[in-house]
Amino acid sequence: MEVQMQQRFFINMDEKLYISSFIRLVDAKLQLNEKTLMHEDNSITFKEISKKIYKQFELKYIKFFKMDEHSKLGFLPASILLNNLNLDYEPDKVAMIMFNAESTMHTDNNYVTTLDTIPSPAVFVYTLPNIVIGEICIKFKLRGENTFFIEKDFNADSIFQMVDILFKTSNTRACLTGWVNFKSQQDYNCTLYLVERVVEQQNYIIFEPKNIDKIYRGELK
Amino acid sequence: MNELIKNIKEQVIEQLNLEDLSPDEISETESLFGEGLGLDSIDALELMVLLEREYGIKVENPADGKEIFSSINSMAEFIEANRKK
Repeated sequence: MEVQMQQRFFINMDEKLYISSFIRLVDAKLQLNEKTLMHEDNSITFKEISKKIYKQFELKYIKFFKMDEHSKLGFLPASILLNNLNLDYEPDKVAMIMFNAESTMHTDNNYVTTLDTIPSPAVFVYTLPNIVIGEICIKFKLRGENTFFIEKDFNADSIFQMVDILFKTSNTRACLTGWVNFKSQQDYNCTLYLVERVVEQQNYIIFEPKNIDKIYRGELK
Repeated sequence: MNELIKNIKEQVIEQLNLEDLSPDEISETESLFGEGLGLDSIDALELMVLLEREYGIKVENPADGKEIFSSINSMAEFIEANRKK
């Protein structure tokens, strides 16, 4: 079986899965790898900080202001991370697997409030958690495998397993994965990891549950 | 008519969350879809909601939207001729 997979997807045995870059937006702090890009007072709302990040990093995207909070939460860090790299893979070899616990509950509730008058189509289209992946795909012209899972809590093992399976069973060369969870204007967490199948490189972090968890908790600087 | 056009521009910005645009930046004659403001089919539905909520106009045939929403001027003319409030 292993041999068949290697033949089918031409796996180089010297290559392993590494986190080549990561980004976090938590508690009004935006951090790309070891560098803090923005750190605002905790009283700032997500609406305010998301607009500030969008303007400061000049992330021109015509649909940005139409997005719900969940999509903005994933879109902003993903854009900054991807803009910072020169990914030289074919579009169908860059995948995305994301996770959260809230799904789009915040937006679902917003939509319910519009039912009292005339339901809003623009709010309705964001009542699915995987829409954020679609927005990133459109912006960066990515066409790889993608899916969005709902978990009870952050689960580093799940992230590791799903991404590991993806690399073993497809022609994926890079995968943007992680946690995009919007609960309220003060309670949100986006932690994204770019995982690549490459020959060992000095600055890369081994893609394993322990390191996924450390980055999520802000313990890996 | 000028007051109506000004109101429509403000309402379009609010309804479609075009936060990075000011009313002055929207041309009365420019196409709202495609090359103009870059609106899409969901925005067209939102504009229909806007007509119903603000002016009491129900667009019975969605296909008419293409002509009604071709520009701010065409929206204003349609509203002027059909408004119920």
